[in-house]
Amino acid sequence: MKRVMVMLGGMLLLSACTNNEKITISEQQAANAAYDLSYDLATKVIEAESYEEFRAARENLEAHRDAFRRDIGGENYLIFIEECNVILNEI
Amino acid sequence: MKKNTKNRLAAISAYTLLVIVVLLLSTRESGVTITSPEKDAARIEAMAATVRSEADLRDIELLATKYEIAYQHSLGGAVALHFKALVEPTLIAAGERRDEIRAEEEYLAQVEDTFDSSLDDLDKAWSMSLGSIEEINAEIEANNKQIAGIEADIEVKNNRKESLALEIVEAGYPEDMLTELGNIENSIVELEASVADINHQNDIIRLAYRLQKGEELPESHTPANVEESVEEGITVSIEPLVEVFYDIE
Repeated sequence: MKRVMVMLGGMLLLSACTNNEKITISEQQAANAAYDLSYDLATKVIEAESYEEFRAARENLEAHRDAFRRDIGGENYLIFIEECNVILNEI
Repeated sequence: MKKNTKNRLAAISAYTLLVIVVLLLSTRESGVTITSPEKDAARIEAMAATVRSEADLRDIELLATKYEIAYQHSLGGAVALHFKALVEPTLIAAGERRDEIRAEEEYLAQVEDTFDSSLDDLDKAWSMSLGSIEEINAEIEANNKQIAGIEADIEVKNNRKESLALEIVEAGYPEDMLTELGNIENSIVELEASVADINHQNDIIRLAYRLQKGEELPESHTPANVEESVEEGITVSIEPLVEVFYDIE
C-alpha cells in the first residue's frame, strides 16, 4: 500500500512537472522523490528515440536537478544525482 | 593624614581607571569582549556545534584567536594559554569537520561533473552527423592510428624517463637533470590525456551510431583493439569517485 502511494505520489509529481511551471520539491517527499524521479527522468533521457525527445527529457531532468539543489540540497540531492549517473551510464 | 588618604585614594582610583582603560582597549583591539576562559571557551564550543559550512568554521577559528589575543593582552600569557587549552579540542574537532565538509563538497562537485558530462556526451552523440558505415569506420581507424602513434611516443618517453632516473642518481641529483625528468613526466601526462580524448571521440561516434541507427556499429567494422570498449558502451564520463559518508542532517 505504501509503495503504491509512493508511486502515485511520484507519478503525480512527474505529471505536475511536465508543464513549464516552476518545479518545487518539498522536504517531506524528497527522499522518495530522489529515487523515483531520478529513475523516471534519467530513463526518459536514455530511452529517447529522437534528438528532440532527448532535448526535452534532458531539459526536464536538469530542471529537476536544479529544483533538488535549490529546495532540498544535502543528502537527498546527492542521491538524486548519483542515481541519475548510474542510469545515464547504462547507455 | 587626611590629605595622605585622599592622595592614596586618588592614586588607587587612577590606577583602577587605567587598568579598566587598558582592558577595554585590549578587548576593543581584538574585537571581542572577554568574560572568563571557561565561559568564552563554552561559547566557542556551542558555536562549533552549529557549524554548517567551511566559512562558519573559519569564523570560529578566527574568533578563538581573537579571544586568545584579548586574554593575552588583558590578563597575561598564562590565562591566554589556559583559554587556548580549553578551546583546542573544539578547534581540532572543527578542523576535522571542515576536512569532512571539504571532502563532501569535492565529491559532490565530481558527481555533478559526471552528470553534466554524461548529458553533454549524449547531446554530442545525438547531434553528430553520421556518414556511411565505411566513413565511420575510416574515422575510427584514423583515430586508432593516432592513438597508436601517441602510445609509441609515450613508450619512448617512459624508457627515457627510466634511464634518466638512473643517470640522475649517479650524477648526484643535479638540478637541470631533475628539471628534464619533470618535463618528460609532464609530457607523458599530456600524451596520456590525448589518448583518453581520442578514445572518448571513438566512444561518442559509436554511441551516436547506436542512438541514431538504433543498433550497434557492426562488429566487422569495429577494429579488434577496441572491441572491449564497445561491449562496455560509453563509460567516458564516469570516473572512479571517492567514497564519502554523508551525514548532513
